[in-house]
Amino acid sequence: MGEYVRHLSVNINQSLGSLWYLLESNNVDRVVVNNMKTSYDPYYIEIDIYTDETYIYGESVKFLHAMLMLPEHMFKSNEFFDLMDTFSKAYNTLHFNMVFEISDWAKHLQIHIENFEHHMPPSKAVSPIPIEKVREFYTAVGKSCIKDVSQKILRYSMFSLSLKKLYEIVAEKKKITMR
Amino acid sequence: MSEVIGHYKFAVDQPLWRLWEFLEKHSVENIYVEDKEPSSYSDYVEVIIRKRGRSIEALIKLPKDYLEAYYLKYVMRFFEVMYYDFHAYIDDLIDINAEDIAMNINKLHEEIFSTSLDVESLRREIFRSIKNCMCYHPNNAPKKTPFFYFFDYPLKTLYETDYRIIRRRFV
Repeated sequence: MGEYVRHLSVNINQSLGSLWYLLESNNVDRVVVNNMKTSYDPYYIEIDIYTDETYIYGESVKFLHAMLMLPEHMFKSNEFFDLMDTFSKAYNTLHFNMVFEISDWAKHLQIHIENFEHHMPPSKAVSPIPIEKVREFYTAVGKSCIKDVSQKILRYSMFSLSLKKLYEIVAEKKKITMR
Repeated sequence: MSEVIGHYKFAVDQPLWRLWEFLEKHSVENIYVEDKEPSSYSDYVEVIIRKRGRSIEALIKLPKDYLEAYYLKYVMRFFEVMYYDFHAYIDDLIDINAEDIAMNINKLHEEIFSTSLDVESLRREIFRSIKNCMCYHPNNAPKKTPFFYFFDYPLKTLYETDYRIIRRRFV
């Protein structure tokens, strides 16, 4: 884990969708539910955000990593922990995987561009395009895709339920009626 | 087996990005630039759209003289590869991601409601949405990227540029 960036917290009366939105609006790429530590306040999920780094084709790709700390009673419920873990997987597939796909794709494009420019007549030759520029452009494109997909996903009714309500449903097995 | 579903003439004085847009509008996923048989016209590129299985491909025939222009031929080869990357290649990447996202969302839904979502429709919706942003969104069109500077030029200009280079060297 890289450097600490900031701390956020979400009241358990807030919805699962608002947690997703909060993470997204803080440019978080990857979420992990902390399995070692609980939050200090029983009414809040606390979030620590860190910078992180991974390598694709030997080149560094930076991203933001969020660590969720659940209140103790929620933490102790395997069912609720699993639910939050699935939530993080859904979030990560859309955000973190996209970072990888975009980097992979940007590299793929860069290879074609370099090949093309290598074969250009001297009078047309231009300086090589740095991979970082290609990646930056497609990351911006990717981010607009993510927002669009998120809007569709967040329409599902489960995202409008509060974290507290979700805990009651899965941990205390209180049935709710689906409309 | 392929079936011809359209045969069009594309004027060589239009910028290259219009050809890209034209192909996208016809849902073409893959293109082939013919490097032997020329177009029957001197001022038009012929675009033959074919259906092969579930995918749609286009055969692009350049005017006879254009076929002999090294630079233009190379630009068109690059155009072919880039078009493929933006469509067929991205399709695969998005499809895998869309399936994963849909499965995770469904799992979350099952944990809460004990009922399944229609994963296939969800996957299709996510796929369409990402594909739309990546390939068709006006702000993301290839003409906007800084890497495809020659997309602004008509094929005719690219051909003439090549011709001038050849003439400068050999005349």
